[in-house]
Amino acid sequence: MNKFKIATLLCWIVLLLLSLEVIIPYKNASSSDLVYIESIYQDIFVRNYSINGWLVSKAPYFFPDWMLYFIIRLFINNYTSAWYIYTFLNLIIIILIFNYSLKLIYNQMSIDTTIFSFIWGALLLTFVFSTPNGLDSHTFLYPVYHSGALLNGLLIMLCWLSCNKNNNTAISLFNFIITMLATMSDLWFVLWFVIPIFVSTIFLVYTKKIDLKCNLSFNLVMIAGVLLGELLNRLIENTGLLYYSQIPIGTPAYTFINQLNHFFRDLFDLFINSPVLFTLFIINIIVSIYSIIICINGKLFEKTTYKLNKYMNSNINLNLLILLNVLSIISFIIPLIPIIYLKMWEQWNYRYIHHFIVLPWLLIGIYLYGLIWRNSK
Amino acid sequence: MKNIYTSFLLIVIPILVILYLFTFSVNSNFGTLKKGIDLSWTRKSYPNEVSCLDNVAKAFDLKNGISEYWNAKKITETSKSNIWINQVTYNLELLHWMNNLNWYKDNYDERGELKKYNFIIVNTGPDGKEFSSKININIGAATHTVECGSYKILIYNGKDNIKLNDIIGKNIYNFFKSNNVNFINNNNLWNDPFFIDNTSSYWYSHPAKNNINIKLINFDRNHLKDNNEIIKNSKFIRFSSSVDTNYSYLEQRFNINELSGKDFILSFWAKSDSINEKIYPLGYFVPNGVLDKSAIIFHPTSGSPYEITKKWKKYEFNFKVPIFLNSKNNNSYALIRPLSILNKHSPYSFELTDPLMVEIYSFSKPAQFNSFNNPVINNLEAYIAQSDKFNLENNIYREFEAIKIAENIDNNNYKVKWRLSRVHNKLSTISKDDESKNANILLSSEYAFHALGINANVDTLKWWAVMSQKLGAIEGPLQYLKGSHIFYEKINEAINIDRNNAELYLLLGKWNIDMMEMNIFNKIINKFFKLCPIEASYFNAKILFEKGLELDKSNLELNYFYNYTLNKF
Repeated sequence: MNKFKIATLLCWIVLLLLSLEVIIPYKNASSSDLVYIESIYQDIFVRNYSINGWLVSKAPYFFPDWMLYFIIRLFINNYTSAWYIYTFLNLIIIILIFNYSLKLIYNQMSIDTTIFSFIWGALLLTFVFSTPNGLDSHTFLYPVYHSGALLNGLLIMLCWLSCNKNNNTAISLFNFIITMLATMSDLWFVLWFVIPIFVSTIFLVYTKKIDLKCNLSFNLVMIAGVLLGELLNRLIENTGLLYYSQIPIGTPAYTFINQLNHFFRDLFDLFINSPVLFTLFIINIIVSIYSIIICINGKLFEKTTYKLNKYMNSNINLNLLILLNVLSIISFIIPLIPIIYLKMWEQWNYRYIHHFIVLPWLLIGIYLYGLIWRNSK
Repeated sequence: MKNIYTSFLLIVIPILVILYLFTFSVNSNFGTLKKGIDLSWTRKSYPNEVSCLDNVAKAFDLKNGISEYWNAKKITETSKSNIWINQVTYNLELLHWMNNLNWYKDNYDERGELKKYNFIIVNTGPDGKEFSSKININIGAATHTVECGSYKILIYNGKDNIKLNDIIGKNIYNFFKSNNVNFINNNNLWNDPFFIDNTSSYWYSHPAKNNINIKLINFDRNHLKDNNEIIKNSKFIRFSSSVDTNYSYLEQRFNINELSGKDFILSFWAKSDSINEKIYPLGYFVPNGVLDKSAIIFHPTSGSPYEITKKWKKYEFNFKVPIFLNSKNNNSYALIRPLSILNKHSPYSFELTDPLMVEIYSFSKPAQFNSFNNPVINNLEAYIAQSDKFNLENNIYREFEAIKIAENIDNNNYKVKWRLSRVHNKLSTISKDDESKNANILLSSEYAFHALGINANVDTLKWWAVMSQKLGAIEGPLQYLKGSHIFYEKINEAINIDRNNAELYLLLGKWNIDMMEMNIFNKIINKFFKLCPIEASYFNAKILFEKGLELDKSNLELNYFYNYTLNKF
């Protein structure tokens, strides 16, 4: 049976690899924005052009984009193939992060968990359809399109969960390094995850759902990582090694209300085109708001805990699940502030909200796993 | 119960997913697939349109082109014919966005050589309309037009090509100039060893020091119609040769009253695409503002017509402007033209490639230059000889005194300058504190730089090489690596002038050892940024020391380092 399961897992991985080519159109790989990583690679490793003349985007995507792509490029002598392999690895990493979060929340890891993760990952690929115009919503898998900020953010989220489960020095060190690298690479990471984790911590400490001591040290290390990352970026720019573009700000003619309209119209379009994802998103919003309510209302919290223990896998760590829910709702709200206020939303800029797509998938997946395997202790 | 779940997960869902992927996905390639998934991404890296473009490039000998943002990088990275497309705005100006400024040059190691273009790519669809119309207005119709799918390739040959490059070249040049801050901080994009970072201007200028006021006369490439403005600001005008003329030239105009009776050095960089081209500058005094027979020609006092090499090279000519070239007429001006004499056997009209930099220094001590024969020449030589004597005796302070007196006699003599550099370098080695040590290194570098500016010979090249590396060492690892590169270049230039100088081989050999034994941090920086791209080795060092020993067997330092390198094998 185990052999059968392993074979099934491998089949799923191959299926995922093949399905990428069906879902992601080639034209996206050849977009001038995305070819940037190949140009950087060529300048550093092939053409020997000095990179000091580069004007990179405000998010230079050092980690993991540069690193991962350069490693792939060592073995794959073809831009498009390397690009597809990157998207595939990106998806695999997201699935593995999902798998690890299952381990943290259910305190167990088996081949079943891994198979479920890959199945749920394959479904994610099918949930996110292409939008009728412009770039599609699969951009969370593309290199140099803020996908690195999502990966780094998910890693920090896991760190936060691990810290609340069993804090140790290794987690702090990992937290510091990832936060520093992620801040250097892409400031969206700070908006999507760092500030939301900070705000969530304040809320959860206030409602006495988490321990102050370990969360305080976690947040301090995280903030130190962010500050050092930003400092290093400024150092790079001041020494003239690289030049960063300014943060793009939309047409000044747009009013705040216009921006808000554009944003919600596009968001609505996205979810209309991906109805399953839209449903997951709505479910997640409802569950997350409910999580906030039960944090404030102690009686409701006890009732919910009782019900969850009854109908879900009894190994479930409910505290961590609540942490995730609170984080997910706050991480939806925080990035909206600069997006709307700085008029960054034009059309089809889904690359600014990758976590809108992935977090609902991740959270609903965790609930589904608990429901499906509720009897397996 | 568990088996039902397992069956559901392992069999039903995969089938549903596969069906879902192939039939319902909005972006599915289902309709075009003949045998299921064909892994087309393994082949699509070479799209048909780019393949067609490559064929056109081979047929029309296309090398460098321009395009708007969405096509430029994409074509460059996927083409197999080595064509290079640089991105520009719809107004044909340089677009510095998610790209490398070094791409606008032919070769990073060359000095400021801008690419020449012979084609433009526009989109055939409605999104290419605006760009096409701007091209038509600014450059005009192409010599040939070829279409490859959604790309329209506009090919410019002959006179059309000159116009294309005049407009694009001017815009790119203006971009570099107007973005001078980025440019200067940009690790010497032009790879110019004489560049000083703290200037507010793109052009090199030097602070006034020791009675010498070195002044830069600004210029740019714009043709200005207002005569008054021409007089106020010197202008750089580039004339292309045509069928009717047999020469090309650059023109530097300046206010004659500022230079009358003074001495200056005209220096510029040039290269030629042709062979047997010679360059020689002539000065004209234009009393009435009209260059006609009334103009008075004055020649350089040093320097003869030089053959222009195919690579960028610096050319220098000394001028003494006669005192009578002074005018109260507001329209009068003087101009300098480095003339390139056409190779008449060439089937093409010759064009002097942009030298990119013309430096004019004027010195504010005209009294010294009123007479062409310096009456104190003997004393000067005597003091120089004295300083050399003290140098051999290692009497630094006496050496310093002697050469300072020589400087007061003639502060524009390269022999004096490089000796001043030498003595300040020595003073830096005996300085007790870092501040005075660094001040001496800075002064020494400045003198070495001036000496080289006056006359490029073995001594001046050697001292500038030594000091550029030393200066780099106190400024930081990046500067040290850049300084090391300059060192290598200048010592090689010196060896080319004098192949029998054992000291030069010693210096270059030691440079190889220095580079090999550089700390790991510097090595990583160099590996990444290629600031000193020359490969060094103990083997090269050994060969150089051997050459040095052939010339001077008794040199103790050469013997020591030769043995040192032998131990490394």
